[in-house]
Amino acid sequence: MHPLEHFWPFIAFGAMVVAAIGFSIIAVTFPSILGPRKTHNEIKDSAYECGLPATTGTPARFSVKFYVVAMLFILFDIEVVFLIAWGVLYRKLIKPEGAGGLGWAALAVAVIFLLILEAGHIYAWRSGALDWASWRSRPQQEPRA
Amino acid sequence: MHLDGVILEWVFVIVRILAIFVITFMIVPYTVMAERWVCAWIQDRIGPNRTGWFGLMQPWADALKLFLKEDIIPHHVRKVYYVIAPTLVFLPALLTMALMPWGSNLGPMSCVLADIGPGMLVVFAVGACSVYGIVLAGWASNSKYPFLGGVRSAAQLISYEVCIGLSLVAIFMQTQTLNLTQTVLYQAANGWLVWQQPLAAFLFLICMFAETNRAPFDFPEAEQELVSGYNIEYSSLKFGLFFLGEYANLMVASMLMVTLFLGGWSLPFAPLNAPAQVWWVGAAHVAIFIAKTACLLFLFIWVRWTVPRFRYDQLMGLGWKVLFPLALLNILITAVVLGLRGGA
Repeated sequence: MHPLEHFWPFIAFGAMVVAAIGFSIIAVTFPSILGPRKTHNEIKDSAYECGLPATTGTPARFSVKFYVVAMLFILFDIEVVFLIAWGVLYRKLIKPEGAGGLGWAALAVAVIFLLILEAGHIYAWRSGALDWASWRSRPQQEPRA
Repeated sequence: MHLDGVILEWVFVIVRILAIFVITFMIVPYTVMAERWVCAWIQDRIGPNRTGWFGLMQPWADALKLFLKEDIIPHHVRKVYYVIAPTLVFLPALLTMALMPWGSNLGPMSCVLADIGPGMLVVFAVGACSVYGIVLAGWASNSKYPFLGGVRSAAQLISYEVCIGLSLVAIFMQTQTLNLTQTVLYQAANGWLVWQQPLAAFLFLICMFAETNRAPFDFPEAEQELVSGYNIEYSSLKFGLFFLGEYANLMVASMLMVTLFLGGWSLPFAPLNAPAQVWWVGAAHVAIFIAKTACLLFLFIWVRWTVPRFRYDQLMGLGWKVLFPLALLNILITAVVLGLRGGA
């Protein structure tokens, strides 16, 4: 067997990466060669707004909720990685003990894992991390002067 | 494998890369075309019908126009990120195509470019990169609407990423593999997974609508709120790349759905439910795969012009409070059923 045989899929994938990046470079550079000469003026260079000059600078302020979602994503996505490894092997693990598996213990460990995870999910839910602008998380309205 | 084998393998690699580009650049422009036709049909209009025969040359005319437009880079943008962002939307779709079994085999050549063992992990890894394109575009544009669009899009994509992973765990439990070719072979032998895992298929489809930023989840560009979202500051072919990337992602999402749930290139009867032995069966497999993909693309278009957009809090609520628990429940049900059958 040729030593490269196992690596062919990866070599092929690498070739695809090169081809795709090559295409991207062409697509990004060609219009500046084919298109009309670049001109600049004040209106063209202003940030897109409703037609009036912008009154506030950028980057705009945004809700802290986006950070919360990003953190929750990392927590729960790591758990998906664990479940994928367990899921692929599950049919081997669930076989009766005589047949080389673990029997129902294979399911029990996953259920315990999922229960701990679901406890975290319910906690996040109860504390309002999953609510966007619900009546609970909305700040008190200031009285108008 | 001696030297001739290596040369042959390189020829196959190049042929398949060209095939991927041909498939992508035939399907994507005509998906845009189909979008406009179906939209016109649903809204009782005529739609584009002048360029070429029945308007069939319209997407090429549009592409040519984008090529020949002035390439404006406004002064207020962060230039490097501004330039690479549109390519980052498009690259993941092309790279995912490398792992897609778009046919069984044509003669001695297998139709998967890179048949990597745990292919689904690569699909997850590469697919997750498309969020960078949109976020970078929003941030690099240094302008309000793109920024809001980019941030919204990041939250939306990562929320539904979790549900995609969880809905597919049930599939992996059944097929015992992460390889896309093996998944298709499993379905050719045991029936399509959409019949065995209807809940997983439903969850995956909804997540794909969210991941491709399609209506009813098209928040990054919600026209009425953000004008056009993350891509307003772009012009010329850079805008075209966003457009292309969006539809390429749509195509890849449909192809993934076909591969994982709808039997890939197989049909459930005699010569078509096993890897091809003769060339015409191989050609039929490619045609079947593309036909299934086209049906799903039509579904995506149909939904866009039928269902109104969600509210943003409804979107996040649906992802975290409905789809996430349902996906866990589906894993549990699958585990119990497989356990009762003793893993067989």
